Amino acid sequence: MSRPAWTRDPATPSLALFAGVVLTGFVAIGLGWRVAARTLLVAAQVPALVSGALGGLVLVTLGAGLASVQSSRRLAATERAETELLLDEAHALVQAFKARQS
Amino acid sequence: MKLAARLVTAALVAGSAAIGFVPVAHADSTTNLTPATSAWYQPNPTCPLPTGCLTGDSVPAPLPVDVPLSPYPAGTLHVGYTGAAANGSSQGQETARAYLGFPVSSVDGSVTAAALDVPLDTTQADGSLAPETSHIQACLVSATITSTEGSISTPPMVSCDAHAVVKYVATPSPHLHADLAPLLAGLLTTNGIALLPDASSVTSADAWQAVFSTPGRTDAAKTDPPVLKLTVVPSDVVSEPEVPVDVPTDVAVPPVSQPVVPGSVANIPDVTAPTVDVPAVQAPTVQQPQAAVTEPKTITVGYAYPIVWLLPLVFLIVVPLAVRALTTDLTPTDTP
Repeated sequence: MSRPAWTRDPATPSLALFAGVVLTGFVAIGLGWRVAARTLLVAAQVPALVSGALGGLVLVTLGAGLASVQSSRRLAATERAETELLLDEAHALVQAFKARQS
Repeated sequence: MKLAARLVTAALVAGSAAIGFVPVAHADSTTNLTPATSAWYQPNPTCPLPTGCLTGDSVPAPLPVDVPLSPYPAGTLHVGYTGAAANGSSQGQETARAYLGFPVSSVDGSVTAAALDVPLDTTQADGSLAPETSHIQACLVSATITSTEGSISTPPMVSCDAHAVVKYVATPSPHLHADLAPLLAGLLTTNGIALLPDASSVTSADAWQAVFSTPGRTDAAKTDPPVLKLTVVPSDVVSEPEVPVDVPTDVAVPPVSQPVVPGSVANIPDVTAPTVDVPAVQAPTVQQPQAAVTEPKTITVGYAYPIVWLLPLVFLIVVPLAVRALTTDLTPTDTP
């Protein structure tokens, strides 16, 4: 039984990791909101907002940014591989043309 | 070059991991409370008489008012003790005790530290007598505190099983200071704090009286009122209020804590009193109520979410993974 093609992509683990960071950020925002909403004590709300909301926002931004960078790197690697393949094909075509002329 | 890159990476990883050791915001706040009610009581002077203690129900008709017997200026509170007479004709006894009712119900959270500071009025004309030699203890009050000055009525019950020692401090200005750590468990559920002579420390040679001011004192000798300093930490922000808002806090007080004597002067409003002739009659028998036991309270200290200590491990795992992911060759292995 062979693995699906997308699981063999070298970018998949890293994209999963960054998606996890983004998800953790959303969870932190949710927890911060939950804690802050359950009390009227400002002294308890401030730590919840700092640790939850701001921390969660940082995680979401960081995870999304890294995922974007990784996607760009993957696209560039794919483009580079396809270019090399095209060059290989062109080289082979030139070699075949030379062999036919001689 | 490769070594330098590795060193930079290691420094970044270590720095990121160190972020996990930064303490998570933990809000401690200090709350200062002044007494909402205050009172001081003195022993009933009729008790040493052969007829025994004279109380309100021992007279033919109830006294219309709570007779104010304070010989001191209005707005002063007193805690005093006098030792035994030199000829041994009398034993040492408490001459005054004070009650301070603080609005602790307004405090939301757990109290991790508490201290009581009582600025002293050292004017002898106000009743002050060698306060530096005082031996005072602070106890929790389990009964309702009613404002009065120098009342001879039965004072509210106190629970001194746990008590704090009150010390005299001379500088910068004379005041009493008490670390209320022994009383933390019941501080937020009590009706107030009583200051009374420490029976375990007083000696027959003691003769002292500490005087301080109520918040409402207005004369020239007024001192700052007593201050209860609380260090409050929101014990658990997800916890519900311990006492429902619509339930009076008095329900926690056992009914035996407030002696109810028919016709007792303790139940009569404190107003200016006329002179009342009290006939001497047989002293009534008043059964002393048992001391109320304060409900123990668990105080949570430390981090509200100890799981934050795992953050360094998470950083140690995630950061190297991210660095590795961002430096790995992503060329597809099965390019069409």
